[in-house]
Amino acid sequence: MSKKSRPRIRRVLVANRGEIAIRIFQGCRERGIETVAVYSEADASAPHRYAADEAVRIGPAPPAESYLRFDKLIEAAQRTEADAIHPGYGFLSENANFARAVEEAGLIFIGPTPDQIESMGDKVRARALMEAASVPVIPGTEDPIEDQETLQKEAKRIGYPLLIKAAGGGGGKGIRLVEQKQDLVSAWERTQSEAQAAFSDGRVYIERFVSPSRHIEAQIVGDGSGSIWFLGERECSLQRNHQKVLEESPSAVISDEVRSRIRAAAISGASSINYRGAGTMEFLYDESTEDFYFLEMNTRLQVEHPVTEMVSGIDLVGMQLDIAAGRKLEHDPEIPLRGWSIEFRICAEDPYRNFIPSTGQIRALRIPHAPFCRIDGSLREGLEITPYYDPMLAKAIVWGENRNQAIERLSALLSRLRIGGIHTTVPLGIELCNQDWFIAGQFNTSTLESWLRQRAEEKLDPDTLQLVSAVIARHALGTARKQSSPAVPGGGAWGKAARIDGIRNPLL
Amino acid sequence: MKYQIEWDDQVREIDAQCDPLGREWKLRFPDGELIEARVETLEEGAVLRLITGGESKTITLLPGNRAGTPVRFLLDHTPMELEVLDPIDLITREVRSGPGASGHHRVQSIMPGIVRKILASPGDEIEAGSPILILEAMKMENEIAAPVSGTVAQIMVSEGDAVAAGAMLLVIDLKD
Repeated sequence: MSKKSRPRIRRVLVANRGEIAIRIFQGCRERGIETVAVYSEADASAPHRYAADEAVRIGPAPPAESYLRFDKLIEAAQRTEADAIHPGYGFLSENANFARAVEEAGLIFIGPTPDQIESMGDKVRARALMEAASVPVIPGTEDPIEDQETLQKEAKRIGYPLLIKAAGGGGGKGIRLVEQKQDLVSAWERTQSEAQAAFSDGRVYIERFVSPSRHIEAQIVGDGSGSIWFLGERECSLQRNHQKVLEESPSAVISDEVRSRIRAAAISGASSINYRGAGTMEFLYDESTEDFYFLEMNTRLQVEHPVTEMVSGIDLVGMQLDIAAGRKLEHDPEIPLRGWSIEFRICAEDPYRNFIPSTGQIRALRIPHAPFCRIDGSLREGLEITPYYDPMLAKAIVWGENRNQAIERLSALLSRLRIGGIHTTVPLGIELCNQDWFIAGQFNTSTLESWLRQRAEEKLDPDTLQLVSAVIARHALGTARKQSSPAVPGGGAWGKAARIDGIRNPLL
Repeated sequence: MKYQIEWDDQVREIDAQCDPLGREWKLRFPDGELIEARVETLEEGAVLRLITGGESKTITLLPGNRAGTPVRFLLDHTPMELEVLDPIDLITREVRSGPGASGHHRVQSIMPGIVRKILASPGDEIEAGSPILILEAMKMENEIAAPVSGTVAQIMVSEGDAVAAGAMLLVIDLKD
């Protein structure tokens, strides 16, 4: 009926891998947009490669030689006649130079403008800009720290404990907590070298570590001309090593009054820079005073964006695509949020062994289907998990009418999920859903780590029932081993792999 | 059938009998206590229901249960890990337990990764707990500490090397 002009975006190249690439392809497909995947040599048989209409090999396994190569990505886009590049999260998603190179090549960068990425990516400048827009900020250094003398002086001024943060960092990488003076210099050096390697930017700054605090973030979407939508907050306080483990929306401790203050701050901050696309303003929340402080702005889609989608019913990838194609928004409308959503990150890490990375082959996979449950992943049987990339394999996301229902759904979903052959964090998720402190919503950013530490120190003292269970579990494993080990003629790759590795049961 | 469960410095021997299908169980503890239990399979090879003493519990077997490693399972929602040796394991262990290599300690990589920095050189005297190298895995730099005190005898890797889990990193001559 309306004179629908030809969409400006017809084909999108996703400069990423894993679950987020697959998620973005789906968003494109729903809008009739064609998709192009890129993959490294290590990802030649990865699910994302086959989830797009076309796929281009861009180089060897190390990200610096493939997923971080501007030239190869842009060349792949041009060769496949894509008109836009979506960076996903991680990799080049917050690299202003990449966004600029994409635009200079005559392509659309699906995200903020290069200048916005640059000013928000520079944590020091971001603070100043947000402060100017009346967004509360946390005490810290204004300039990057380049010498030991300044380091010592500023650390003394700000006080311990403090955080050393990479100016170009994000996603929890390039952050170190320093609790005492003697660790300062080595932590500063290590963060610099890690930042240099990961973000090609060795600048670091320091800020006060407010503890206990909660990590609350606001999802916003802007149209580039000052109109901003606020899509509620996310609680991401459950972290280990500054990596988010479980996220939810809304937060159990944010009242309507606090939420409206967060909304006002997020809208004001994002609007002041005419923010374009999906973005997240991260705040540190002090429960005792109900004060919140701006930490940083993530100028990209977040890993945990699905919890916002579940409570708002809004497709964030779809909005990114629409805005990149020129859609304009009404400023600060009332967006109804309904119910509760929780996401648990499933990582290839061993929760029994201090989360050491687990690599190897996914030997068996059972993804349960259940109402109000969503699993965003990049999994298949036979997939080799390599040490080159982030350990996150999938995300389990649930929705419930209220928090308790969401927790019960997540516990049930994780209990029925089977990923065999490698260790994953699934048992941790199930355990968390059944902890009183989690169910009560009583936690902060250090709760998970101290709970894990305390649990590791507990002396094992199994009761009779646990011993009985152990014998029965052992017997069941033994039975499964006997069943799977005979050399069945033509028994296939599973049986063979199981025999070679002495696996008792391919499902495990 | 004798099973042996080990944790910390404790060992418990349990004499367990079950029918060929593994459904009806009688388990006798060293103190003479007898437990009767019924086991139902909820999901083949993965989930069991244990009914004993009027209680019903779910046992979920977890991934990574390889031969020769402790048994991992969820008892309802609680993760458990216990070293359980069945009669075959007990025999295997007796055969295998020879005298261990003494005098030096081989440090193996606990994870796959890339050697970013080597912090020790052959001939260095090191204390247990002191960092010996930095291994990068899945984007994180991990400090690998010396598990024992001694003298670095040999370093098998170079900076930039990709190593597999279990790869030999270095040899430490133990202090006498």
